[in-house]
Amino acid sequence: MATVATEIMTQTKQHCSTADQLLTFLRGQLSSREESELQQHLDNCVACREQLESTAADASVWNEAKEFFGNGALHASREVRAMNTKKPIKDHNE
Amino acid sequence: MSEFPETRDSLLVQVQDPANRDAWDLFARIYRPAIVRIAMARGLQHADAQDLSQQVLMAVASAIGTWEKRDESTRFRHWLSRVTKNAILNALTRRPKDQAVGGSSIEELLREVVDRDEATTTLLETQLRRELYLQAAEMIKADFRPDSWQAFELSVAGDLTIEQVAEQLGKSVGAIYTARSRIMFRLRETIAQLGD
Repeated sequence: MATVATEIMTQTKQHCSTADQLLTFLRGQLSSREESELQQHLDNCVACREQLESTAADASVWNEAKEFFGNGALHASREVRAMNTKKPIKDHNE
Repeated sequence: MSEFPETRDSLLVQVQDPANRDAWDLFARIYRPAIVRIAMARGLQHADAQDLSQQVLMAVASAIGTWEKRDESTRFRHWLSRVTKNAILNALTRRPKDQAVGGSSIEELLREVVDRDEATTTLLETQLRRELYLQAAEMIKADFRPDSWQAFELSVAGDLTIEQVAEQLGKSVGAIYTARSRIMFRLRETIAQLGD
């Protein structure tokens, strides 16, 4: 007899999406019903969350976004960003 | 709608067409702040760094017109990327830090860099990547709902967990994953078009 945990895992697995479905979901091209179901599924399925994020972008892109968008960078103007430079690096000729 | 010029070609291909002012403006919007940041990191004052960025962009713009005759075997976007980086490195390394800006000729700036300064090259790559990301974010932001963008920003750029972001915004965890993944997907596509 299956345990409750196994049943939940089985149910979750049944609703897991294929790579193509996730790609269609990312493009916003699923029907509204399918979209709503997948979004609800993401509330509980760690595997699909991970699959969705890796379909959206490689880990290196997520990491770069975190690095480049931190410290309010998305709100700063170009001038402020340019002024907000770290301390000078050492010149090789020095 | 994003403001990317209407073609499937990447930005580094589009700037080859001298009539495509939009492409050049976009190119300059990405490269100028990156050059300014690098120059300031090398000790230049802001005004001098601005002058230097102008000088580099003028050199690159003048080089584009002569590309076909000069180097037919190389793909334009690769060539342009190399020329731009060379111009930046030349502008930075050929000028003593206390000398006024404006000394380097276009030919000097476009010369192939043989002995690359590793620290500056790494900084250059990082700053260009940073500007690509920020420019891409600026371009796509209007295509998403404000609450989706907020979910993306809080969960990617902030220190909150997805669960905390969901609670703060009154959304489900699935909705946060949806918003941030869709935005990241578009961001990646846009970066590829700008930088490849």
